[in-house]
Parts: sequence; structure tokens; C-alpha cells
Amino acid sequence: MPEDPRLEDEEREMDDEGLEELAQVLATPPPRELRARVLAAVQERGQLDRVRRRLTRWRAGGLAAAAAACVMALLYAQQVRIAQQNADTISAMLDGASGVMAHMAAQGREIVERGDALLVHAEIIRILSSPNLKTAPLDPMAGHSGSARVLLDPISGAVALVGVGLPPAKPGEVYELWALRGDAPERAGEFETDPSRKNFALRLRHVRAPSEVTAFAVSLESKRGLAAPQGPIVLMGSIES
Amino acid sequence: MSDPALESELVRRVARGDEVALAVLYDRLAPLAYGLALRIAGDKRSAQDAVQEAFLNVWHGAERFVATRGTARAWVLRIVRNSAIDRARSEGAHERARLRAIELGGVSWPAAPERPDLQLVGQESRSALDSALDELPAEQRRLIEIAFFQGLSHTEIATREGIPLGTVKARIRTGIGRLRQIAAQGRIHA
Repeated sequence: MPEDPRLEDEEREMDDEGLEELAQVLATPPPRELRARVLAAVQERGQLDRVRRRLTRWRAGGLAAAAAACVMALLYAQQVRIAQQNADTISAMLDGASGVMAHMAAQGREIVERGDALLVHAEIIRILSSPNLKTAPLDPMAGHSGSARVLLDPISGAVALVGVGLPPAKPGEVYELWALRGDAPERAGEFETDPSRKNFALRLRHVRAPSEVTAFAVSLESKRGLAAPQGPIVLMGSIES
Repeated sequence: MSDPALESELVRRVARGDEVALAVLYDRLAPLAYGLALRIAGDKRSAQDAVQEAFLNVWHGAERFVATRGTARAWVLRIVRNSAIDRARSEGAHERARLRAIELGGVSWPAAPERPDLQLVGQESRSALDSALDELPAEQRRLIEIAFFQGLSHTEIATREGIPLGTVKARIRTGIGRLRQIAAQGRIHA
């Protein structure tokens, strides 16, 4: 190695000074050919060094390009993976959201239904609270089942129907309540029964001249909007005094 | 003439791959390098090899030169000395191996080539220094030879010679000062 690392600074200074002194004393002209030998060796080594440096630069450039390509590939793969994860997450969220939406829609429907039921019950309570309330118990006709009671506010003509055991109408058929008085029957409203419930409570149309109504009847009709019942009468009863 | 700033600049240029700078550096230092190598290696061929190797080491190691830690001249001469010492040790090992082989069973082992002309040059250059060294006390002369021609550190010399480190330093410093005086009086002619 060119330098002796063991030499301390002071010692090295002494060594340097002494060495220069002694070399000065010993100075001897070298053979002329030694210069050519030394410079040729250095030149040869210099060319090798240049080639080596060039190769190193190329190698370094190649390595840098390869490393950059690897980094880009890794970044791309990472982005693809993140995008895939995001897509999966969004899909899962959408699935969850659609489930939540369906649940909310069902709850909304139930709330609407319960709201309607509450309105019916409120109307029924209002009718029941009438001081002149009139009722008409409806009994099944021969060959039919179920029973019901009509609640009539004789002042406003509001009508409600509560009952039990009336079978659901077949597809295309509908129950119709009729108000009966001396001249002709009046449509008091059509209705269906809920197959999942045994009881039913309905608020129907107002009737004209409620004080003149003497009885009510329920028929099963295959057409809607008839002026008079055409189907079978399933329930019927008079207003109680 | 020594020009430390110029020689430092030459080494810096060599570090940048400047072959011309190396040629200039060689022209300035070759006589010193060759004389030193000749004294240590003992023959012309080894000295030339040592100088060539040393300048190749300068070419390769120039970026390690630190100007604040000494002159470029001393740095180059240390490289020359190390290279010459390695050569001398190698020659010594070769000779010891040859003698040992003969001793063990008459094995043929080529001796180092004869070099009478080189020995003559070596003797001539030695005589100038030796005459100066002869004027030094024996203990100073011995320590200077060990320190500068065998490349031992002052600590190693102190251990080897069994004397305090301070004494080693003092004797070498005094001896160098004395040689400088002799040279200044013109009584040394290489």
C-alpha cells in the first residue's frame, strides 16, 4: 500500500523530511529506457482503466435502467393491487348498501303500512267517539264464514268496518260494502282482507244521508264500480237501535 | 528544486487520469525515486521494477493523496520505498528458499541472475551516502538505515532495538539534521 497507516503525524513528518533528505543525497539518474517503460505501463493501465470505467458506467446505466424498470413495475403492480382492493371495497360497500337500502325500503313500507293502520285506527276511534254512534253487526250468509261490525257516524256519514274470519278474495275478486236504505243500495267502499291476519279494520267511504241507512251488506264482486251488487252477499246486518 | 505546490497539483491531475501530469511528475522525481530504490533493493533491475511499480501505484492511488498530510514528493517516495522493500524481501526469500532446497536434497534451484554492473552503480551511490553516514555516531546511523531503508516505524524500531521510543525519535532527528548539514557543506556527492 502506498501509505503506512501506523505512522503517527509527528513520526510521519520526521519520516517524510528524512526520506526527502536521503533521497536527495541518493539521487541517481535512472536509465533512459525506464521512463519509456513506466509511461508505457501507465498508458496501458490508463487505457484499461478507461475501458473499465466505461464498462462500469454502462453497467451502472444498465443497472439503473433495470432498477427503474423494476421500481415502475412494482409501482404499477401496487397501483393495480390498490385499485383492485378499492374496487372490492366499493363492491362490498355497494352490496352492503343495497342490503341496507332494501332493509330501509322494507322498513319504509312497514312504516307506511303502520301509518295507514294508525290513521284507520284513529278514524275508527274518532267514529267510536261520536255520541250518536251507530253499529250494524254483520253475520255470514249461508255458505259463507266470518263476521264483522259496521261503525257509522250518523252526523258525518263516516264508515268503518272491523271484522274477523273473512277469507281472502280470489284473484280478480273484491269485497264491496253496501249501505242499504229504502230506495237503493249505495256503495260504501271496496276492500280486501290480509291473508296473514285473521282480523281486519277498515275505514271506508262516507255515505250519503247516514240517518236513513238501515242496514249494511258485504258482497263479493268480480267487477269494480258497480251501481248495485251482482255477486253473492256474504255478510249482512241491520243497524242496531 | 522542490516545488510542493506544483507537485501536489501534478498528483491531483494524475488522480483525474492525466498521463502528461504523471510524465512530468516522473521527470521531476525519477532520480530521487531511482536512487532510493537502488539503495534499498540493492540492484539495478529490482530498482527499476520497484520504480515502475511505484509509479503505477501513484497512478492508481493518486486520489488517496491528502496534501494537508505531507508533500506529494514524500508521498511518492514512501510508495517507492515500500515497493523497493517488497522487492528486496522477495529477493531475500528467493535466496533463502534456494539455499534450503539445496540443503534438504540437492534440489536444483535457479539463483538470482548475476548483475555486476548494477552492483557497481549501487556501490557508487552507496559510497556517497555511506561516507556521510560514517560521520554519524553508530547508533544514529543504524536507526536511520532501519527507519528509511527497511521501512520500520519508530515504534517498531523501539521494540526491536529495546530502546525507548523517545530515544529512537531523538536519534533519528539528530541524525537527519547532521546529514542535512553535511549535504549543505557539499560533502555528499551522489
